[in-house]
Amino acid sequence: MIVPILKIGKNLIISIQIPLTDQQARQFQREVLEEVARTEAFGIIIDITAMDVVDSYMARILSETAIDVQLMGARAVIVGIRPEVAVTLVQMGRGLGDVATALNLEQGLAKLEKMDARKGAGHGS
Amino acid sequence: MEARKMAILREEDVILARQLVRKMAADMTFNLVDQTRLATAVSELTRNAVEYARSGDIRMEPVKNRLRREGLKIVVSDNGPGIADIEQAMTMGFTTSNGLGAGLPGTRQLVDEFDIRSTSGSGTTVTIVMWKR
Amino acid sequence: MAKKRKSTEEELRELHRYTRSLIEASPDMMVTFDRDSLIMDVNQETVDMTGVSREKLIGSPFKQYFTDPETAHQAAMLVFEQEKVKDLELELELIDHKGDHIPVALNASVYRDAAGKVVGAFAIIRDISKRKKAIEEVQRQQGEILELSTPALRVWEGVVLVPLIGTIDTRRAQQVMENLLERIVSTESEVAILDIAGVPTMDTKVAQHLVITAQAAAMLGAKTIITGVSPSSAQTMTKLGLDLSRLTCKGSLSAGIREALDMLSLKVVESNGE
Ligand SMILES: Nc1ncnc2c1ncn2[C@@H]1O[C@H](COP(=O)(O)OP(=O)(O)O)[C@@H](O)[C@H]1O
Ligand SMILES: [Mg+2]
Repeated sequence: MIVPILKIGKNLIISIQIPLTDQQARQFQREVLEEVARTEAFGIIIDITAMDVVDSYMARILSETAIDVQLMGARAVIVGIRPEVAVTLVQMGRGLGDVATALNLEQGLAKLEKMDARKGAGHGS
Repeated sequence: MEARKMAILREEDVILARQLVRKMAADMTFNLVDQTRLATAVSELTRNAVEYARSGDIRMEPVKNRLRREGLKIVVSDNGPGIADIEQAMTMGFTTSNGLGAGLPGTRQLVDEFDIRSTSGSGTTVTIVMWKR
Repeated sequence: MAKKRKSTEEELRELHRYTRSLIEASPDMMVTFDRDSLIMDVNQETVDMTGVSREKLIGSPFKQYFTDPETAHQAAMLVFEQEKVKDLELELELIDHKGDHIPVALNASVYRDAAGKVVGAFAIIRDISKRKKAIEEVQRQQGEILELSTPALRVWEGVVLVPLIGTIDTRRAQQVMENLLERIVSTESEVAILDIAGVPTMDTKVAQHLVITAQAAAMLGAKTIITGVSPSSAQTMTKLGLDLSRLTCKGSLSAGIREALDMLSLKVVESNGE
């Protein structure tokens, strides 16, 4: 697996520790979805604390992955976005779409519980 | 500080290029947000070189303007197919590769100066400059 | 006749001596140079500052006495281009006789012969190291005040507050934005309150920064509440046509704090006295 995926309780915790090439990013997306299907996870957390650059391609992979997970009936939250990364993405005119985000793992897990899986993230809450 | 140059031949080079530009920007004491803006811009431009022209190169050079303000100038160029309609390519959402079409317009938002030159059939050169705040 | 003529010549010589003595006595450096920016004449101050003799100065390139010869050359050429330059924005530094770098300001204009043909440029070069130091000191203090005037306070667990007071320019807006986002992360706050009651006017650029801040905060996983929006600020913000739907605005700071606690599902229980 390109990025280690941990199953903790009913959730998957995925922490991207190294920068990914586009090809690796696509592999990451595939593997996460396969793992959600295989484990029938309740929700996933993607932790990007270690990512110091998220460009439009990576942003797309992240939001697509979250949306796909929701289509599969699970919940997804992205956590650990760095302030400078958030500013850069907003300024580029492309955010992460309607994907739910949280500051850290703990808040992310709390958010998973509150989310309605079918409707997805709603308004970023 | 000296100018640096590197060839962009593979997807891995996109990562190396943005790491190199971040290091250079950090050495020039650009603030963290600007370092990130530059690294992200370089990521977009070098990806385009690999994706649409198979290869290209990047040159990074500290510059000074007439007011002696320090800046970092970056030139990404390739000998690929070029862009027939630049205005179209600069439009948010326009893509020929089923991408997001956010790379070029997004990059322009991130930097102080942005210049794109391209001739159909003979390549593309994008020049960006960020001035220190 | 002959006698009178001689006295005119003497008068002229006297006048020349007089003007020359003024030039020599000037506390500013004075230099003339030609189109190739070779020095034609200098005053005593130039000799004293550079530590180079008059003989050596005359005929040498103007640019060679500066830390950045290229910019100095550019400056010299600009004089001929524009015929007159005042407080040229190019930053020039002279190398003095001790090898120290002296920031200088350049005022110069071309001068002409009797036929009106430009024969050279006359430049007054002023040592501005004191002025520059003063400006730098003011800027440093402004920077400090800036930081002091944009604190990010943690008002409650999970709530961070940035009160904005005074005029916000783009530089400050940027600083506020970075500060706030930093603080959201470091305090793990889920709600950020931006109180703009103390801001007299807001321009479009600043409003745009505020919206970007709120969007970036949302991306981090925090909500932003803007409080104290004045009528004119409200107009600026709507005129922008940006997506304000995710911005929560409250009239007063206390209403904002109440809203923040609400968001965190903490209710403010009103005490009996109120
Ligand atoms: N270096 C390049 N050479 C040729 N075409 C390019 C190059 N860079 C960009 N383009 C064209 O411009 C379009 C927009 O690029 P961009 O904004 O980066 O979005 P995306 O890469 O997502 O399509 C691309 O789809 C491509 O057609
Ligand atoms: Mg692209």
